[in-house]
Amino acid sequence: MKNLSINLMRFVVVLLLAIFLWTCEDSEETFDPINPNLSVDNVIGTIESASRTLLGAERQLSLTLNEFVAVGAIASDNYVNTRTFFNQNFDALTIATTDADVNALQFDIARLRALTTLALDEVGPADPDYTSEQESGYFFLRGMAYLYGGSYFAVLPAEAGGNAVPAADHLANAVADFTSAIQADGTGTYGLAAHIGRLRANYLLGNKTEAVSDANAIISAAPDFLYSANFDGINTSAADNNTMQDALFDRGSFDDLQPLPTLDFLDPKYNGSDPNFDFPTPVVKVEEAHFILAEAALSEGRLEDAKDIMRDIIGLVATRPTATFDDRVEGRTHLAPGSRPDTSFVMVAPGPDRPLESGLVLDRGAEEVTVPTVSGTSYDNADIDAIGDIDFAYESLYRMRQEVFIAEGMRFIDLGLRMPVSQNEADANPNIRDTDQQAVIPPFLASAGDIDAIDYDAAAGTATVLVNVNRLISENRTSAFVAPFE
Amino acid sequence: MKRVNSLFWVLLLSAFGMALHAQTQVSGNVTDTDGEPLIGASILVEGTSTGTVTDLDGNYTLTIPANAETLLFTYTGFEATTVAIVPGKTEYDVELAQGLQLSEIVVSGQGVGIERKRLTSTVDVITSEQLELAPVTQLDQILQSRLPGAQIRQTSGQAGTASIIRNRGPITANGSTTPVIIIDGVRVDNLNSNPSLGLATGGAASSSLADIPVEAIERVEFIRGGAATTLYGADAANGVLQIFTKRGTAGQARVSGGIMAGIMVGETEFLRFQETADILYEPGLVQQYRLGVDGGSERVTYNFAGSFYNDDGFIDIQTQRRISGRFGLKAIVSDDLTYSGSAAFTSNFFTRDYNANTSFARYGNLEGGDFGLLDELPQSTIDSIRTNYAEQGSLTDITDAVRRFQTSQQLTYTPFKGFTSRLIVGLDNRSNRAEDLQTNALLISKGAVGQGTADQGAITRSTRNFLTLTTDLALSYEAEVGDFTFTTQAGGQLIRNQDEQLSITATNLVEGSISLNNTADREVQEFFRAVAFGGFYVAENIGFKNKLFIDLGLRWDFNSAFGEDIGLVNLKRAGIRYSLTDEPFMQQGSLSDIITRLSFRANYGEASNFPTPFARDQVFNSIAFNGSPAYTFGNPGNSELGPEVVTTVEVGADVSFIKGRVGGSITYYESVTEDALFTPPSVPSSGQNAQQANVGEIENTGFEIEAFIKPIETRDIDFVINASLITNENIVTSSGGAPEFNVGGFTFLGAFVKEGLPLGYLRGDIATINENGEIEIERLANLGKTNPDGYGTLGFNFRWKRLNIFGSADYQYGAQAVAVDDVLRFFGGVADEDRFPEEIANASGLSFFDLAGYWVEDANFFKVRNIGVSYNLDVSSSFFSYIKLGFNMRNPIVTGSASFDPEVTGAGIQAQNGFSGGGFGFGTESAPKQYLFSVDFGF
Repeated sequence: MKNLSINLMRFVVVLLLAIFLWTCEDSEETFDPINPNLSVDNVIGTIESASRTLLGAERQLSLTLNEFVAVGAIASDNYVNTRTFFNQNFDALTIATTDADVNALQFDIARLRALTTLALDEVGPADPDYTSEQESGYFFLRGMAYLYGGSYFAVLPAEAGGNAVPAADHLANAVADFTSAIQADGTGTYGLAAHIGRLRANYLLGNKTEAVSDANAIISAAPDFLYSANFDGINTSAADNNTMQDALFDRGSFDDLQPLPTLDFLDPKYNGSDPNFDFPTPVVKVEEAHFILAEAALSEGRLEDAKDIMRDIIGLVATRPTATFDDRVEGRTHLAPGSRPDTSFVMVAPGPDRPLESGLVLDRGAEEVTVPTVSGTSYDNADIDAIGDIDFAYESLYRMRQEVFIAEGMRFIDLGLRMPVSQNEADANPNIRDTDQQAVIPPFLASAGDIDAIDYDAAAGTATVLVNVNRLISENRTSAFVAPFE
Repeated sequence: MKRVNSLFWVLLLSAFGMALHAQTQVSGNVTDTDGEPLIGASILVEGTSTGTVTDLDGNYTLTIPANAETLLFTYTGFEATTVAIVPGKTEYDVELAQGLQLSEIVVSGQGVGIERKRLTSTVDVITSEQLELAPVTQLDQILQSRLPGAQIRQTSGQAGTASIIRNRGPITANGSTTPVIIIDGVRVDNLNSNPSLGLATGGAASSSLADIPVEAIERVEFIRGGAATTLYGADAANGVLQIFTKRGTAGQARVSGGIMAGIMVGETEFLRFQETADILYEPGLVQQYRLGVDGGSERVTYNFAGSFYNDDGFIDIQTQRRISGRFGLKAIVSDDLTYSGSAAFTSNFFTRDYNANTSFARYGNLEGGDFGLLDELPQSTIDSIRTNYAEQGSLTDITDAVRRFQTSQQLTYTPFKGFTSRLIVGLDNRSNRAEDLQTNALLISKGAVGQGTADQGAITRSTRNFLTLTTDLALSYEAEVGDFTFTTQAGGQLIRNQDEQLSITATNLVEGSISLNNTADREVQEFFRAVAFGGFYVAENIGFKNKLFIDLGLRWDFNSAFGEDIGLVNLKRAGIRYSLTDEPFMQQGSLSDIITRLSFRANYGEASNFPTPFARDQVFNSIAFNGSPAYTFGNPGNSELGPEVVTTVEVGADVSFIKGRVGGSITYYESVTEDALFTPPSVPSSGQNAQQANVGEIENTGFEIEAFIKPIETRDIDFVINASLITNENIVTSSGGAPEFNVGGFTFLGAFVKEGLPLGYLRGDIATINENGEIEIERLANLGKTNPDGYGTLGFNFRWKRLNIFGSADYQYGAQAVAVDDVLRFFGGVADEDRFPEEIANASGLSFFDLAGYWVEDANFFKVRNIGVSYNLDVSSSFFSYIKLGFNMRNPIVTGSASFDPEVTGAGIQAQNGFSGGGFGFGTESAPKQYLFSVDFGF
């Protein structure tokens, strides 16, 4: 009897353990489940690895834009953050070392740099199908990482855990990478884009000759050149969507960022009702080359040359596409409708001492609203003709720049704002000094008060921008903060 | 061969077995010292799991194995008694004395089962009698206010949603505090949050605790995390909740059933606007029908229980429907081999509304000031909102369907006296499908798209399939040598969890269809997580003269989630209990009349939580980007990733006076989570993702105090009051130099982990007026904490003859939470009056980031969870064996210190059992009040 019981017991134990094992699809995985994701061995030296990594780096560029375009717009006078959960502190020019957006941008810049470095050092060379166009792309994208590091930060580590090095070092690295991109493939998209990247780096470094040379080169080689960062509107992952489109338009019945009334006709640059499409954000476009030439001319006192170039810009902008979208859901604002200019009846003064202008505000809530999606400007040739002196030319050029580059993250840089090294970097990187953790706010902005404040009289249909920031740039162009050619 | 076949059928088909041997039948009556029959007292053949319970008259009949030697009589609140079986004698009447139930057999913390007296740590027990006092619908509701050592906080009033279950404070930043849940020895799914790919409808997530079948629960044992859970190994550091189900008792088939019906109404106590209730709330019908059968032969007993539950919710579109059943079987295969099995199936179906942080949330929008001050709007506007909301409700289509199957198969082999071996194999398989169907009509009604839109319809479907398999072998040997008794235990477990999730978003759904096939674009995401783990242990419990007990245990754990540099992880425990009242000098004279029971205990033990599966691996991510794969860095990898180990030291005493009329226990605990699993951001300049690592250290200290008093105890009247208080002080003692990181909430006002502060402290800016009248803004200030300083339960039970009146309540104090609804009202210009000091309110240029601190409020509450009355009809001359009438009120009295419900703060819970501090009151309805009538009967 006892023996039978023991035998039964054995039988049952074996049976039950067998059931346990059989229940798993693959018995080899029972005790060591296999991670279904991609191991490093499956990347280096595998088919299509170079092209997939290039696309990954382009995506990383888009993610980097997501970190600075919206918050940069909020910090600048372009947009006011009425009540969204996008950064509120930046709106008051409080740019703290502990700010999550400051940290996130450093991370994304570093990630773009690290990914392209891995691509250049390992992934590309190990892929038998590696092309010079891909190599050019890696260099261009790494150049952009350095360019952003040198244009958004006063100092920043240029390698993992490294010292915070000055912006000029990042810009020099950018120039070197853009040069390599041009050398690898001078006529491809990345090589052409590298010209604009390099001219911006040289512009910020104050290297007028080199910047002008690249400007002329790209205008000649590709007179309508545009390289944009793409987003994936289908994937629901918020990171892959265009954050600025979300901030400007996609928020449904939540409020979105509110433009300065002088820029209303350009908003929202990224729009549309197709839930599966997010608008691309221009990264480098040939307009920038014209602006460099115009600013170079102004810095040399050549007013009429500059005005000619500004007319060129108006002509170029007119060739850029527009989009018509259903604007019935967007509001100015949602919770306080009519609290900001929202009809074409409203006239706007771009500064307290500037005359009212019409055509800057569109009829909001209309079923069809049309805005430019790459570049737009309120200027026409008559406006350019009316520019009579260098000071007003600078003011006008920067206002035009503000319009053409709206929602691209450029205004933050143009205003001379720079972010500090983040607290997370300081916590985990012993090389960071206290002096690295200071933001740069030009004194003329710091003392200007609320730079996106407006005075709006709905009944009279007038709105006045209370701080003419373009005038401030013009007046302070010899300072170290803005207009590098002066 | 015939026997093999029998066993096979018993095991695999759960059919009735055959009687193989002649048995002895014993019977008798169990009373208290006053001669009052004890209903539901437990009678067990010692050393086996053969047993029964007494009926309404205290009578029992039990078939015992031929080799049975001793009967063990136990009853909640009474001293256990053993009676030697005398050959030929078949009647054993027993009188039980009141006192702490220290001789009760408990399973928790030990492999097979051990006398509670021998345990060096505390165990909370809920018996079936306690469970049956009030209607039983959902596990966490059952536990709420009934487990003195644990806090169960409902995070939403919507049915079946997640709760926060906590004991001894938050011990980890890497997960929730939900304990391991074991049913009949088999681990089950304890996901108590939204799954990783769950629907984003605003924080309402079906919890797997909601669909654990609650039928036929014999008893619930809860052991707090720490020394007592060492032997459970992986993930037991949060405590272990064990549920034992009924197997039936021998005899003719007994049928029992019940009907419960009542209504639920929305809670208005914490509403900012009473108009919210006028617009949204409507009473819903609650109904439940139960049917059970148990009985069996001398060698085979069975128990079946099934129920149907339905409620219409307290808001037009929140409903729940559940069908569940459990079957239990026990068969004595031979003198030394017993089979026991249970199987349960449940099917749950919920319909829900949008919640919290979605602009579609009706409740959230009303309370969040989307319409301004509702209390100042004309009735016509309120009526129009109601009409519009009714239309939105009728177009809303969020569903969650859950199906779950669980089984436990158990063999107990007792080849010779004192030795027991038990093998358990079982599984829990839970699958759910949550779906949000957004038609163009819904989007138009929500104002999200313009009239006439036809291409924005969408279906989001999230599915999850979870399977956990358990194999558990436990060996136990009891021996007595002189004054010493030894209980030696050894055993091991092997467990495998697999969690598969899919999220499909399909857009451009054509009107009139609810199929993914009728959409123009589809996107899919997958989540896969699998982990195999287990371990083996040895433990020794040594007793000396029945008054001093020493408990020693060692466990070795392996886990597929450990990094490759981590091998077996060793966990240790040691404990001691000394019973002063078992000394002869304490049992003499008047001293014993005053002090019934006094014992002291001390423990040291280690328990562990394992790292996130696959977090050890270095991977690349291939991301679908505009139709092509895009490579990027994935998890950086960590070959040294190991478990976090919670080392607990606790000391305590259990005492009762005056024949057990007054008593209680006190425990001081100090637990340190070493090698705590943190996932802090990497150094940003590396550009690498955050990597989980064993870098932190978390400390929890506090007291656990439980007390009871029986002011009246006569033949006809019993009156018992019990209360508990658990205090906790939590601090992150080290973050290993890692940067601060977020574990919930918002960036501007969130829950963070930082060295020197409580886990998940609330961080945000706060603007104040300094002595010069200037505004000062403190950036990223410590604004509070979500874990309470203390919490506890309060309960009473009053019996007068056949009438029972009972109640239970719980409370917490010393926690803070964020009034997110008022942040939204602030946006709308209707923030609460007096929220800000006048100077701050009038100051210009302050953003809501600067004001964050003013939205943090004290989150104290006191809630009466249950008040009920039941009456047992006299059915002695009828066909029925009992008829019990009951009336029960759930949540009859709730009060709190905050402008929102301080309990309903689930918006701070991370998905996939992530850190669950809660602490964000965000557009979420409180649990409704319920008024339930019930009739239970048996024949």
